[in-house]
Amino acid sequence: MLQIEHFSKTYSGGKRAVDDLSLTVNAGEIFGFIGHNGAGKTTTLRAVAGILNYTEGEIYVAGHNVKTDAVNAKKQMVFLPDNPDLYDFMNGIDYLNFIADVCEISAQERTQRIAYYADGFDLTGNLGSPIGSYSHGMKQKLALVSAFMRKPRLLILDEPFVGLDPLASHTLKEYLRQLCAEGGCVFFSTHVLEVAEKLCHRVAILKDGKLICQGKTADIVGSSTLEDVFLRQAKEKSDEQI
Amino acid sequence: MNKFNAMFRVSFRGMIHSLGFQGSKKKTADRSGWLNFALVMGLNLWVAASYGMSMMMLLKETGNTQVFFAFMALLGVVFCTMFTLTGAKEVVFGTRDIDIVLSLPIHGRVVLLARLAALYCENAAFVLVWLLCAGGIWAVQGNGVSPTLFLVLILSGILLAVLPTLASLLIGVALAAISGRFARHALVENVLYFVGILLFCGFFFGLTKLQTAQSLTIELKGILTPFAWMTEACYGNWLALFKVALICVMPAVAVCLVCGHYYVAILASLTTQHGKSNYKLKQMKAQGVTLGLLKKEWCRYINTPIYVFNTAFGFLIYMASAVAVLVKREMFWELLQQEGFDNISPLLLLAGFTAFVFAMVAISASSISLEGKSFWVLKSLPISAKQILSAKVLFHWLACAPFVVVGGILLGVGVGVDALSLCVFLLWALFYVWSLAQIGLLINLKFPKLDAVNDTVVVKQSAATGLSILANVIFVLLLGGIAVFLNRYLPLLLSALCSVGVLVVVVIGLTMLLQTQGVRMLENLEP
Repeated sequence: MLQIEHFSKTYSGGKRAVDDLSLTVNAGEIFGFIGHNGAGKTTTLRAVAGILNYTEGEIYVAGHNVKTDAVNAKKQMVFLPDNPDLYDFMNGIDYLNFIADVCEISAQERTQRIAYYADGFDLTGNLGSPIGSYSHGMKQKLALVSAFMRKPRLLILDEPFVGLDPLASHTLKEYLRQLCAEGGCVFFSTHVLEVAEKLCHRVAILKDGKLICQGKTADIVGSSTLEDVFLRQAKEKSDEQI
Repeated sequence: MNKFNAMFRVSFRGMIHSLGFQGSKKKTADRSGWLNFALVMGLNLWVAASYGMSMMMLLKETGNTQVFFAFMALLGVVFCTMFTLTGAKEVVFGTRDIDIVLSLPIHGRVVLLARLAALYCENAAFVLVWLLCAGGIWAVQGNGVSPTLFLVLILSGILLAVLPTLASLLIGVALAAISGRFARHALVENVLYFVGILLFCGFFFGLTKLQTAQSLTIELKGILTPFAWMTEACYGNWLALFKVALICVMPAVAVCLVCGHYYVAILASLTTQHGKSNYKLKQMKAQGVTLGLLKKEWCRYINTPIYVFNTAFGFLIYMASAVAVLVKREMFWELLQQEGFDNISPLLLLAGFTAFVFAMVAISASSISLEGKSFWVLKSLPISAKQILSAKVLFHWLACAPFVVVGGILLGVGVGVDALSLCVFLLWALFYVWSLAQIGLLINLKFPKLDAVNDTVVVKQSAATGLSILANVIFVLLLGGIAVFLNRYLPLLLSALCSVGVLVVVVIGLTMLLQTQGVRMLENLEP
């Protein structure tokens, strides 16, 4: 579903955020993207989502090149940033309606889907309020409802569990599994290694823009924990650099 | 004092930074901020010089040149108040960084004073431009000039700039007190701003009555006393300057002390949100991509009071003028005769007035910048850059078109344009507004500001808005030149039709530019 080939990104200041990254996310898979702050996770996710320009490498979503066939690629995927700044000037329901209009979701389907996901996140009662009055967690929930409503084949999430209450986190995990069971896939970054370990079929660890490890979660973790693996990998890489 | 200095530096640098456009480097943003500030002051100088020259002529005719400085100071303060008033809520009562600021061990009063001081610096520059310009005109007109006069003008400017700053503070407090009580802050603020515009128009039109020596004397002894004292100071009365200082500074200190005490409460009132939790989901309606995008633009427009205030001013002026011309047709023609415009064709007058009014309506010029931190939403949606740009141009056009048509018809009837010419004019005006929307959008794409701390700096002060209005004025002058040239060789109606043709070509050219360069610029723009 997602294919990243030799992707690199250098910012105008000269900082190389991602260096020669290649990975694949298959249908029905939850893929975790792990790395320290500034490792290049968000840069990669934004490039995949088609909101960050890049010159090196290629990214394909369901066979559509993100650079040259952006609209068709975006039809297959949904991206949510770590701190979703939504339209504060709209009500929650107006925002969902706007997204549904732009994504050409029929009236009946949008009503059903919004009812299902907004109830799931316990947000329906607040949909009539301005987004400006929402807490961080509520904005996160609204963004998630708008994402699931689109029934994407690829869901890209940047730190999706930050700001969510335990119940909403649980619901989100359920919906992610449901999406994968229906043939979709999820590519998400997280610092919560316990979640990644339990939820992801495969994980990749990024350090200073370079992929240092990727594979099935069970294979990578082995008999230890993902946290131990992450710390070990990070230390080995630092030692190599010294 | 150190805390005040630190807060003032942050507020002032923030204000200058907010004037600039988005650059990859901080220096670029700062430099462009100063450049935009210079541009605003340049425009201010132009307005001051134009008004000053015509005012001097008028006063010379009536033998009242002794009140010239009072008039210029008054106009400077009024225009400055208009300019700064819209910024009051965001610059002084901006709440976006308030959690950080108020969590610091600094008294709310110090924060208020520091923010006011930053706003005061901008106001002082504004008023000084008017007074120094007055001094220049006074000298050019051979009325005699001395360094002392300029010293008095500078000191007066520094003192009088306190008044618009004080007005900003009071308006901010009033907005907080009133709009904070309602769930729909934006709607209430729109209404308040609308009332403010009406009051300003009333006050401004009232000034035009002050042409006789008697009315001037009455007014300068009443509410405008500080300006009379300031004039006396210009003639060497230092005690009068001291009185100006007292009347400007003392109330400001008192108001600052009181407001400073309640500053945190005012901010809390402004950030109060009235959320509901009883929404019941109903069957929804699908509208399609274009309608969805247009509805979003409409929500953005109507829920951003500064956006409405800054652009609807033109609509209001246009409609008010149309009604006034229709109702007081005879007075209008007398005025035209007085100003020497009675020889110009009504059609050209109509087109010229329409062109200048709508050149000031810069909706699309801040449309991209207003996406701000939410820009990722549009960028991640499965729609092309072309669709996004088209919706923004269309929204600008749709917002202006009803006023162009209704106001244009009323004005046309008022000035006596025949039906056929009126139809040609309407066609011309609709294409004209379309081209303005495209120019504004292109300029905003070239000078975007997605990192603005609030909507006010984007709508009111950003480089894109200023440059867009400047470009519009140049465009109007070019169109005017073409129209005059065509009118010289062709009958009026035919030359009007040719002008429509010119605009059609311009619109096609700008459409092509938007669909190539514009699309590329939007695609390269990163949230």
